[in-house]
Amino acid sequence: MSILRNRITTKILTVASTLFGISVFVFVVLRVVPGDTISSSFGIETSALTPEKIASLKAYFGIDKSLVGQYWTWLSGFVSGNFGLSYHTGVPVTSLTLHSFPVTLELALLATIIGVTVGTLLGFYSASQPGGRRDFVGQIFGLMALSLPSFVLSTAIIAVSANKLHYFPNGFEYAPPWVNIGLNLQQMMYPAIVLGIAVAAPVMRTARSSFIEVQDKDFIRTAIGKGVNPRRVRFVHVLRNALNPIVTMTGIQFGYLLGGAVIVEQIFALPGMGRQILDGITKREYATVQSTVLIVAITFVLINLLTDFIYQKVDPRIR
Amino acid sequence: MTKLKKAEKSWVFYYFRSLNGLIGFTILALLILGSLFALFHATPYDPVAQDINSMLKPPSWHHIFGTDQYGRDDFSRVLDGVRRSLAVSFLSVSIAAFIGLVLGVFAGYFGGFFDTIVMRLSDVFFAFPAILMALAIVSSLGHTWLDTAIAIAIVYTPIFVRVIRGPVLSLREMDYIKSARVLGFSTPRVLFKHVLPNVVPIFLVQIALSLSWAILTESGLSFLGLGTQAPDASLGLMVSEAQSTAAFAWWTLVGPALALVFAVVSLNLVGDGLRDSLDPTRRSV
Amino acid sequence: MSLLRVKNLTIETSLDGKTLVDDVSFSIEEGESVGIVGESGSGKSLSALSILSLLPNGVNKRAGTIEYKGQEIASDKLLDIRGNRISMVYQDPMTSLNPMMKIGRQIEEVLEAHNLGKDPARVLEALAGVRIADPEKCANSYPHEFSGGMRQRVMIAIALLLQPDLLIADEPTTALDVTIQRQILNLVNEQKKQNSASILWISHDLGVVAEMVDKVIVMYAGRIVEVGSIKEIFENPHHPYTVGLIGSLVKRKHQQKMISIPGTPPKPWTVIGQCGFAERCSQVLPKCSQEKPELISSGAQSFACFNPIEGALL
Repeated sequence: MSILRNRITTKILTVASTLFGISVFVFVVLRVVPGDTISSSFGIETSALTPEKIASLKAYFGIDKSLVGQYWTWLSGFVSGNFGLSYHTGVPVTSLTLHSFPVTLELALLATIIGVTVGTLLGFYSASQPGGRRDFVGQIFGLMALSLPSFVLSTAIIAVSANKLHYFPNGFEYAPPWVNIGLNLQQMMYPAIVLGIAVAAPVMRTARSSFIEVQDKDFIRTAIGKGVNPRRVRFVHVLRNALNPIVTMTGIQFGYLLGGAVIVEQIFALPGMGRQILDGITKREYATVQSTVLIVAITFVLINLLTDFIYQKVDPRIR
Repeated sequence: MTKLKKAEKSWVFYYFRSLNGLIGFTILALLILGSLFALFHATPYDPVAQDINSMLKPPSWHHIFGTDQYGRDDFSRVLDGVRRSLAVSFLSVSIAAFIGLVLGVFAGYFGGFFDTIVMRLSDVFFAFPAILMALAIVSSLGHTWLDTAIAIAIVYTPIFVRVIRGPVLSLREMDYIKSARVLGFSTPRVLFKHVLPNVVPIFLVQIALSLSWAILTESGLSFLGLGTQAPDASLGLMVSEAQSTAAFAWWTLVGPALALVFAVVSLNLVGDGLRDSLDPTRRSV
Repeated sequence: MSLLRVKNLTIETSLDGKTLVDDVSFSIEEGESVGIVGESGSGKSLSALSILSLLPNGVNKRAGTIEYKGQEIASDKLLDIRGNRISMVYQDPMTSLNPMMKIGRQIEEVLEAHNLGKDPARVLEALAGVRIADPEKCANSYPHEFSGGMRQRVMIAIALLLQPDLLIADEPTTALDVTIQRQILNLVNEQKKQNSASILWISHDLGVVAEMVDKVIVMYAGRIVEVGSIKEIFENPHHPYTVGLIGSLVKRKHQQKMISIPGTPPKPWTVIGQCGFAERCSQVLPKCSQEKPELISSGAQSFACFNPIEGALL
């Protein structure tokens, strides 16, 4: 019991120190951003500002303190749910995030479902005939999906869709699922497929080698020797034992999804976290980029923690 | 020494016997050859020269990949783009591989506090999706090709650290390394003679894979407008420009897309070939 | 009518068709216990595995028939026979149980596979039958919580659950400690008497086989070289390889330096059309490397040798 508690404490400490490191990293990298917030938001009008006005603006944006002071203000605000202000619009980043987070989350979940399903099934299909025709088909797909950048696939899909179907996937304003689920899914379909394919490739490779490895295990022979139907053996014994590496790979891919969302959201005009970051970068808004990147990183760390727990649940040997 | 030479010969031999390795090497060699043409300004047309008389022309004998909306020759632009992609990825991966190798070997071999610090730092880096981190770094560094290369190098260094540290850690506990240390061989000697040769295979495979990721990251950044800037040619930028033309001029997308896919596929295949040829248990008979 | 009859069994590698088991035939009568003895690579385990079509990937049966009670085992009957009429215990108990499934479930699966429903009482009874102290706790545990000996007991419980006519034991004690080996041997002997099952016992150890069976099949380089009752084989071996096997056993029993047969066994596919033992044989004839000796019967015993050893050994 004490060992268990120890392991959990260690885990929590590791995660906490990682999160702290991430916040420092994000802060340091983005504080070196060239360009001054005030001049970028007021443009040529900056010269017309009085020194008092500039000072009050600096105070308003929280950039009048030392770097450590700024970090502390930002972090303590962040922890209490205040992610700062968007300079140009004056909208709190927290409320921007409340709108953008669900978009990215939905996209990532849909893509994960597509990717894991396709990847696992294809891995299963490939592994049923290692070195054979099925394997060849599966491996070619895996290599192509691994090598096709998501922005190329997205651009191709939009071009074909516009040319042949006269449908522009990025031509509507985004509809949240609770407003119009039909339109929402229609908008999500292409980006989710693009990201899903990107996830499917590594999942497929992992699943394939995992299945091949498990198929050759002695206990599979035992199960068949007991008279259990071979199909049942594949679905009960092989699948269950091959699951762990797939779960791990899925967790890793989730991080990729959060990153891949930057590009895909941009192309398909989805107002998610990725676009929020990209907008922030092009408009030089520290607060937006800093807080949004930190939220994405925290989500990624938590997802990996979750994967760890699933892993332990799945495998009785490390319970 | 003669023995070492013999071993080297044999993995090269096995590499070219694997179909993956052979195909990957051939495609990569062709791409490098093409980018050499671009490097010495020997492309059929000037990659940035506009020609109002031949805008958006489909592929023909004059323009084998067609032309874009400014009448620029897509084939020349693709060659120049491949040159940029390869240059950025080779530079960034060289930096990442070198720093990663040094840090990984030291962290794994000496362990202790240094190891803890390095591993904690790499945990922080691993908490970021690669493209997102490159994006953040590029946004503060700038948009020249060197900035892109540095950003990608920073992103991929921790991967090398991890890939190298693991095997070094277990090598340190091997009997023959232990006895070399007990016998009083100097640390550099143990490292260079006994530890490094054992991580070479995994290091080479990682280089090939990282190169393919670096190409994806570089073109992704350019696509988003945060890498190579117009009018210079870059594969990502070309795909981005094709967004508005691909629906009626497919070749504007297909040229750069094929070059990208071939580059990434070839590096993946080279990685597979290296893995198969460097690991004796995976060699095909 | 024999309980099991293996006819002209030939096994090869799938990739390049190299012969691993060459034209092996034998039979097991009801209630009879038979042993197959040979070194690793002699094809004894492959022959045993092919009875229930359990050959590993990369290896397949080229020719031959397997008959159970006079009828060839067709693929549609295979599912019914496996684990029910013929069952098997394997070499390595550490890897033979599914690590992700509770032991009780793994036993119950046998009942379900043969449409006997769930029967927790029967599962516990089976575990108690193989002398497991706390069957209930065992049924609720995962394999990694047990030692190799305990796991092999579980494997035996699984194999004997439906009182099969034939138990195939593929070196079930090789991976175990000597004291545990003894316990397992006693357990199987005891169960054999209770269930009156036939046993096919595969081993590289002639000493172990001698304890367990009535009839021995000696295999070498993918072929049967000699068959006979335990008594005949020990008292009057004909094939020089059998003589060598017994010789090494006797020496070992007397705590002397073990003498082994010089050389290593050849790969079966390299000795097609000749005697596989020719290169190591002390009384080799020119004919031995030109022609394949057929198995010929002499009384109840049979052997495949052009220059057999005659007369009692001991």
